[in-house]
Amino acid sequence: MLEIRVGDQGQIVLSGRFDATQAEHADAALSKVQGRCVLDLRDLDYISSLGLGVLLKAHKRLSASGGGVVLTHLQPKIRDVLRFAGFDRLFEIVEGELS
Amino acid sequence: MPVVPGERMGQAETARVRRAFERSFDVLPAMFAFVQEFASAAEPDPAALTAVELAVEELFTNLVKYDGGRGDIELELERTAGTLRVTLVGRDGRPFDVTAVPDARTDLPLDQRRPGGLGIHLVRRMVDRFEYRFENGTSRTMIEKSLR
Repeated sequence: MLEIRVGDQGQIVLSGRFDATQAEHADAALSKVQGRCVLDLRDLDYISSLGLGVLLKAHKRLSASGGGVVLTHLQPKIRDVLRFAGFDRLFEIVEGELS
Repeated sequence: MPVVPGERMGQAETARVRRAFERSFDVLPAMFAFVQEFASAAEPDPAALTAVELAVEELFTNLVKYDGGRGDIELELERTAGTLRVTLVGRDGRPFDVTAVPDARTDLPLDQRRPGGLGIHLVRRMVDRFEYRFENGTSRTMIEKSLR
């Protein structure tokens, strides 16, 4: 199960498991976001290729209008999946808190 | 979960279980629970277990979408010492060697990347063995991963 909520700094917090059963729900939520979108992934335990596709789609849409998706607080196992997918070259990834 | 005792291979005994799953993405949570419960006896490294779950999801969804088969897809799990082997068995489908799928172009810039096409690319990088066989209308896709 994937939970999507807006955090107290305006960031979008993804918690739980982002598998194929959650892609449609997540795509619908992220399609409403505009500008620069900060995704806090500290409580994201799992992501598969369909989840990655949702993130890429949002990032491409927002980047086309000068924004984009920023990824923060990745667990090591999530970072590995993103790196294998080449997403570390496409996304801004922030280790700690955004300044 | 009933575990079928297997033969001894050297000093390590092999345990096996098998379960059939409907061809639907909706079964993924039950499939993950099945894998997690069986793997737990080996006290798996969390990252290794995540890699197995990801491979199972990618290979299962690939079969559901593309192989054209009918009936359930069987998941066979074998645990020997610290290694987990997962075989997905699909019947009455078309032969399609997923191990021959080329890697995704992860070096492309953002404007040339398209969502999709990453599943097999990820599996190849996250497991220790990845094999495919097709005989008499039955496909067997196998991955193996050390859990430690």
